[in-house]
Amino acid sequence: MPNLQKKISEQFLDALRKDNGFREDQIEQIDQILTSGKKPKPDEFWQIFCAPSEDDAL
Amino acid sequence: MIRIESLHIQEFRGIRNLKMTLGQKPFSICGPNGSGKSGVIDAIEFALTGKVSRLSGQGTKELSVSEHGPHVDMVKFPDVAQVSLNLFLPQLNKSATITRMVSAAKKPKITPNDPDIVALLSEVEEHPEITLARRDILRFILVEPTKRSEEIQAILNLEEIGQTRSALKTASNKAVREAKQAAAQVSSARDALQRQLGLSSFTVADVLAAVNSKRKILELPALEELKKDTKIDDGVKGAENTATFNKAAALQSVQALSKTLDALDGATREHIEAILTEISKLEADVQLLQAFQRRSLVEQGLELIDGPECPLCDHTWPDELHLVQHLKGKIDKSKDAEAIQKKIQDAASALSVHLVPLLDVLREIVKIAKAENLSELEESFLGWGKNLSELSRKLESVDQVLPLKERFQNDWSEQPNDIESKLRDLRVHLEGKPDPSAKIEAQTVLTSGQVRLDDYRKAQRNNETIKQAQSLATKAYDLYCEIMEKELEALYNDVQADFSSYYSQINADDEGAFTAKLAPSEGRLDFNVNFYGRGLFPPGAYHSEGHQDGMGVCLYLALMKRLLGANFTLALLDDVVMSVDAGHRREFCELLKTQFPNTQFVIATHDKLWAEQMKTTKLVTSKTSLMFRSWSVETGPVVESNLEIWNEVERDIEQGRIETAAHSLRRHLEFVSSQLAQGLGARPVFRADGAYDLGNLLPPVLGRMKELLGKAAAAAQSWGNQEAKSTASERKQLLSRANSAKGDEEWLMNKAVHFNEWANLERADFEPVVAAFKQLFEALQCDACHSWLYASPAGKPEALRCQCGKLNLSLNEKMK
Repeated sequence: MPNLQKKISEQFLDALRKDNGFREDQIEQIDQILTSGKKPKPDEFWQIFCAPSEDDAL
Repeated sequence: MIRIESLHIQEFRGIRNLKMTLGQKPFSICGPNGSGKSGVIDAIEFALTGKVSRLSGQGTKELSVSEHGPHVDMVKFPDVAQVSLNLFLPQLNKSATITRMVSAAKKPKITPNDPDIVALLSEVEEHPEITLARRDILRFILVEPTKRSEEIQAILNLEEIGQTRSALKTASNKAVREAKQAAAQVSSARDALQRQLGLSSFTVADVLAAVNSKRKILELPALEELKKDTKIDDGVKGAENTATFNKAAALQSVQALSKTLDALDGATREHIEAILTEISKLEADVQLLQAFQRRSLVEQGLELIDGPECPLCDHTWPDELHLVQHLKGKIDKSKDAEAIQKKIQDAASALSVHLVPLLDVLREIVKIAKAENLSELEESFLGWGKNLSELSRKLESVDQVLPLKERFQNDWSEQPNDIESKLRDLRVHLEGKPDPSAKIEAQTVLTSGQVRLDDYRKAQRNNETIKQAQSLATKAYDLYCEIMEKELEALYNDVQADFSSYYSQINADDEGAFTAKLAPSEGRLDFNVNFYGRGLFPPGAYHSEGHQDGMGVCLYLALMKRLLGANFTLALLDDVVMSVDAGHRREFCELLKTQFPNTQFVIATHDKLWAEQMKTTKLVTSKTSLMFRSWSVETGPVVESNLEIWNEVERDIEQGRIETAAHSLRRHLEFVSSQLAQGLGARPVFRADGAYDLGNLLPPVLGRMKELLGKAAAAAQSWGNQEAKSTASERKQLLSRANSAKGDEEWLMNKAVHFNEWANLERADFEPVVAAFKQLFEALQCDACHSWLYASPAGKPEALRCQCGKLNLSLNEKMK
């Protein structure tokens, strides 16, 4: 059901935006996965969650 | 989405050449089993999706559209097998034609080739669920809850939502394993730093005290605090060239390895035993082992799916969804194997955590051996380290754990021979080395300590990153589940309400207060229905087969309403209510008409009574219904109520095909006579075999019509209704004239009726026969709607009517 998928994805992204833990670049990448039309891969999500912030000068 | 204006099927499945005009209206196709009506449904489905449901799914592995789509006599000529649909697209307010050939099923020809039309038809292609056959009903009603959940999720295209949830869940599980590894790495790096600095406890004060004592020896300023970027070897001259050998730290490393090895067996026994126990279970049950092995393979296959080609065997499925469902079905059959897989994975992961400090301290020992030129020792420990690293890598995959059974039964850590004596020799060697000067020792502690401190900081940063990522992964999964469950619950509530309403409408006589409950839970969809107020039960518990059929169609309609909403404009129903009794089928027609006024239902049925009910309830009309009388492999379906019959007969005569024209005319007249006999209540001489021919049917039909028209005229006379009397009298005269004309050709007609000799006639002889029958049968139908006249109600008729109501003559005389 494309509409339901879209609705859930949009609400999910909104919820991530409201949560301070997720960075804008991470949410953008998750958005890309959800709208790509491809089957999402667990490692794609994991890499996004692990990715250091660009400001993090470790 | 779309509605069908007309279609043309050529050499597809059991159909040779068939044109139909549906006029964007609901349409019925009636015919006995094997008459080719389902072939029309298949053809429409093929034109829209490039697939045919009956050629896919369980038990159809050997079937394909490319090989079995063309008519059986045209298998070698797939180019001629094609279906063309003239469509109206309400969303775009445009018309289009789609033509799909079996030889190029993935490349339909769309005219006009506007991008918006092409896009919309591509969307239609993704909706095979517009076709519902009786076998599909079982998918919703009489299945276990887990399977139902999958089927309904599939029809609602919820697959993608489930895939996202599953991917987030796997990422979240991975986070837990990664976090344990990261924590182990921090602990190990801290131990190494402590050894380097000679600390038994690890606080900032301890570290600063140890560092500053060395810095004092080197006359360097003391460090007052230990920040993230503090360098403990700051100011050490030639720090980068300082020898890294630290006798005290090296001895501690040797001691650490001894301690780790002493504790290793006890710390890991639980995990090793868990792995061996689960492997034994698999070995004791061959089927379980096979399920386990398949599960792993199938899971890998699922991960690799990218299109309808199976990544495991290269078999091409009708679409990706079918393939995914097939593989998921296999996974579902191995739930016990899944539990074993999880236990092995958990135990292997825990074992892997214990390898982290062992490998770290081994690396230190290898460095020491190398620095001391103890090449044999270096080689031995280096080889062991590689061995353990490889083991650690294998522990990440359950597949690779199984072959390690023998290793786990024996000395799984595969320590080098005489390791204790080797470590003892190394300790003796190190203790025998002269103590370095205090300055050299201080330099070494600070420079090597800095390296360990960097490692520790790196491990900590990694640990923080992983902890943060784990928190995000868990949070993302929880949020997605929360939103998904809320939306699905709302969806199922809507479906449940619609379903209950539809089913109540069909069964208003005995189950008007019907209710149902759809209850989704983890991977299941429980479906219970009320049984005459006695409580909620599974549909198959008490309801009859007919009721279950009704439920299946109602659930389908409720799902489609939610799936497509206003775009639910076309549905192909292939014999879906065969077990529903006559009374409820009439209500079903009303349901389709009232609840789905904008949906074009194309309904195939073998039940003539239901086909008639569709007409009497005005779901379809005589123009939007078709009767298949029979089928043969040479001709395909024989269409009976063909409004174009007279034109076709004339065309055949003009082209000298008297035999074909005679065959068509005879078939048509026999069919229409049987319809009239039933509708008027004529009484032909009973035949036990039911094989009535034109000679059996036509005379009683004409006699009955005369009788009814006579009654109508008398009734009109009794009521003083001159208009009705004139209508009845004129119709009677028309029938008499036509019958008289027929009489002129009686000698020829008798040949046809009794001996079927028309086929041998010349054109000049046959044309008057056709004209006479045309005139006769026109007297038996409405001149406005062209439906055949019928007496209503059946049994004790009170009126003679047509479908549109233009002709409606009372048969009841006024009481005297």
